[in-house]
Amino acid sequence: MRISKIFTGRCIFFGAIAIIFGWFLPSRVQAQNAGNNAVYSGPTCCTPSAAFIDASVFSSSGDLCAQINTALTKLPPSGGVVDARGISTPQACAASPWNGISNPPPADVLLPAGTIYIETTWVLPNATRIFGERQNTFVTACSTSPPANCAKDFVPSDSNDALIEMGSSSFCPAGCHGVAVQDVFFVVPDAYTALRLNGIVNQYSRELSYVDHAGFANLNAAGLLVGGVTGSDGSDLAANSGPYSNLNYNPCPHSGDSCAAGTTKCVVLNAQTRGLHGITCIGDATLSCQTCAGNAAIYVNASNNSIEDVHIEGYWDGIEIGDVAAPAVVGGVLISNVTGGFNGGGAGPVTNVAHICGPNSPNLGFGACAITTGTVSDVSIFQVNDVNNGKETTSIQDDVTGTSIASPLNNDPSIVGMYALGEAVAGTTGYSRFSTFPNNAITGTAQFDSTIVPTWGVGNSAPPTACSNPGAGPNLTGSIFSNTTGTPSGSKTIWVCVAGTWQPVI
Amino acid sequence: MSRAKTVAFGWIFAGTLAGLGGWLVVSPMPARAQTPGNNAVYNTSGIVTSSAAFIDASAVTQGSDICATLFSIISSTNYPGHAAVIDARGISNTTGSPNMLTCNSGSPWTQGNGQRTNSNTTTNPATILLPAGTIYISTSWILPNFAQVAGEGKAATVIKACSTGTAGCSANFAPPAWDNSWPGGPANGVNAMVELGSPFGTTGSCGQTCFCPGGLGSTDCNSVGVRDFTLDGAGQNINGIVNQVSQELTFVDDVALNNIEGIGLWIGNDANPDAVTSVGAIEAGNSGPYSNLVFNAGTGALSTTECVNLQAGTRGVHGMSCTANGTPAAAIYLDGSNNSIEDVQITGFQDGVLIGSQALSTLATNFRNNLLLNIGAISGVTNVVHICGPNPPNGSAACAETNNPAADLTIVGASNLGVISASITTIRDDETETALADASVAMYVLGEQTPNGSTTQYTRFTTSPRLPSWATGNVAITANSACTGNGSLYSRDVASTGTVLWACVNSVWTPIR
Repeated sequence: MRISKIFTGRCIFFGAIAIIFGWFLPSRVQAQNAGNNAVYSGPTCCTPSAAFIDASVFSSSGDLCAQINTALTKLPPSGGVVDARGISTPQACAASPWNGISNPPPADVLLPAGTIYIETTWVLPNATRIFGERQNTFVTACSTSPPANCAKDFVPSDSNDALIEMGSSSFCPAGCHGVAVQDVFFVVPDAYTALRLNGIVNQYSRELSYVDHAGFANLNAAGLLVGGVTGSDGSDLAANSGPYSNLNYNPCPHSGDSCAAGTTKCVVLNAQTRGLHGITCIGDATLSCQTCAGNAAIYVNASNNSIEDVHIEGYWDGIEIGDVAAPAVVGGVLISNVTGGFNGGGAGPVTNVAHICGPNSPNLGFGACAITTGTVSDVSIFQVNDVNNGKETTSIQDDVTGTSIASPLNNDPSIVGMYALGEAVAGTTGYSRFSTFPNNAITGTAQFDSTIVPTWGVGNSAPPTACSNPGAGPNLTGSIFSNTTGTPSGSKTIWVCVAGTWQPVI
Repeated sequence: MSRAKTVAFGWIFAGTLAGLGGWLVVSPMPARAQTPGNNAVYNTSGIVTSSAAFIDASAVTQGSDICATLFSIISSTNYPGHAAVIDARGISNTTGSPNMLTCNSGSPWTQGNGQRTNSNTTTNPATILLPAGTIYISTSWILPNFAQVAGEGKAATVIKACSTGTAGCSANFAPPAWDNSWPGGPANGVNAMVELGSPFGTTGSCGQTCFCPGGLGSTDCNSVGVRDFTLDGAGQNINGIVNQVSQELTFVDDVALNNIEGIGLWIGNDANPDAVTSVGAIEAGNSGPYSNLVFNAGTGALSTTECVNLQAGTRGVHGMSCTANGTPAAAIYLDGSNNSIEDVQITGFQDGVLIGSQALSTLATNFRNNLLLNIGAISGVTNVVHICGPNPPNGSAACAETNNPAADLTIVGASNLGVISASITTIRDDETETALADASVAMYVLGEQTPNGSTTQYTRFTTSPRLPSWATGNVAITANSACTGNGSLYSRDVASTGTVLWACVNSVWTPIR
């Protein structure tokens, strides 16, 4: 009996132990990678899944970046997803998430909502993409004045002075691929007045590298800077990157910048890309970007770029094309749907919405580019709108041909449907060129400082006698007019504007 | 001895259980308080623990429907103030068809729909991942500042307007009574299935429940977006997506708009405060892009059915197909400045892109500077692009509004694959009295009126040989050869002697020099 009781007791004991441990075995004893997702593989929970590594479990590693760093080391060499959305914010990062990882695996890193203060540059390695939660995720440069969860002020990792670098000479000296930033806002605190910080600098990432839905607030240098480093094959190491799409840039409201400084830029393209598509650049009336001739929101300093769907306020120049020194050549540039000036906001006018750099600035108060010795050709511009409410400005300033398409003085916008600058015509001082600009405000008010742009008029009747502007502006000398109802014996078909009068040709 | 053994064994047994129990007590998984819906992941000790990477809405206490559940999460006092990702993909119908959900309670951000007042509102931002299946909605989903909604793709996630008689729906779809329209707004009222921000609040005058910061008419929303689902209007005269106030970084991507007999996508601009509705200056300028969209009105399309109504300057409509039954007047109404419309295919609308047709005095002075790129009609379209103006060609009827000055318009790539005739055009330009019946046109750029000229005299360039154009070739033109575009030029580019420039005069190529 006693033996039976003892046996029974032992059975209960070992049974209980077996059941308890058996119940926990799948989830607690089986070897897992920390951060793995817990999923069902059968009726009981759980088994690990390597679908992603949750970085929030590495809280003992340190701050948010240290936790991401640890998670990155858990990825297989082929790469994976690091989910850091479970890490609470705000947090400060003492180092980059990739700090100390000599051969980082390809990774998609999901950042949490809230503010991530960074004390140094994040340099993204090859095949690395970071995703935020759009305008709910802020990456902010650390400042201890006022303190913001930071132990020290932001110190850039190199002379690029960037919050984010896409690739680097150490990660990919011959160029990275597939580096991306998406759905993140970048902020520099008001305290930064001495150190000029760029938002994203891409000098080393090429194909399939992009920035999408990003914002830049309070920066006092460039929001986005692309290119500028040449590889061994002679091409720019950021060539064929992009598109850079759906961006928003607001510089810091600091005053007192000198014109010589001129470093508050929205975008600088020094390489051929897949384009800049959809951006708003807002300047400030107190900044040199608006008050100093030649300072631009967007610099297109490389060939083969498309700039589309752009809104700019508060800069001297909206888009500058070819602010480069000889013997550099910039061509094959497409600009479309650009609005400059007060439209949609109140940050101030834009003196020249699109400014083609060259040596022939007409000296009408519209200014020249900082550098005028490069060669610019083959620029196609569709739909530029200059909304400047009384300030005499231009929608297009072409310093290659010495052309100004200026706004009228009655607050009407200066709009150009098409302006295509070709190339120099051999044996002449002219350029192949076509524009639909008729030098005639839609209300009939003159654009006094507009220069002559020969164009082509069409109508189903003979043109009027005068081909001059109804105001005091210049005429259309050199323009032609087609009368679709002309006949050999009646009203002529082809006319040319000579010294303010339409003259029949045939 | 045996008793001692028994006692000792009992202590061992009890101690072991106590130890295990204690371990379980301090173990993170069973004892640690987690936020319901948190994900489960393995920590560094190999123990399952919680992660706040996202909130799984299927694991929280379920409300009366999916919208009530989502609202309870977003409006919770524990909800992070800086937003969160809410994964609702695991929610299914437990009492009926698992893939059919209903929202009779309101929307994820507004509740109290029983009285059509939606009086209970939260404006916390969130990124919501919707499940596959059909979600029947009884009222508008109005997204607040910084909010996003994403489905599992157009074929998988369908948000459908409730109709009386549909299982689970208590009434026909109806918008909140306080979400007003205004002069210049959609003719059928806001009536939106999805609205990107709103200038209104639940009290009508916005009060403390504004969807956009700053309140009525003074400040816009930003970064509001929807993607990867289908909106099904169930054949009702309601609108799909309305954006009247959300601007920078606001977008719509990969969305289908089916069986909507109102307006598929309406992007507004009202620059003048309206005393009647207390609406201030509101607009959706600089929003977009609106990309990869499909509109299919179904069989019940009305003459007033529209694919897109675009009144503001945006970052463009890029990639869209518009399909109807031939009844609607126009697919895309373009009445704003500074837009690019690219890669559009249209079927079954009288006009494809209709420019400047709306009698909106507030828009008239701003109506310029638009780019159309790759606009095509498959069939059943009378004019692929129709520019309104005072000079309709061939005695055809003018647009209802002819005083909006269409100018500075560039069309690159327009085609009509349907039957072309004098009355069926690729481009009809009522400013210059032009009907262009080419099957396709590479370029048509309408500039502005020439100085002192008549109202039909414009700067213009087109590659169509039926209009004044510029041709080049390396051979001379035979004398008296016929031409089609009176006023055209022909340049002979290989010539050492003889004529190098001709003009098309009275339908005959005539040498100039």
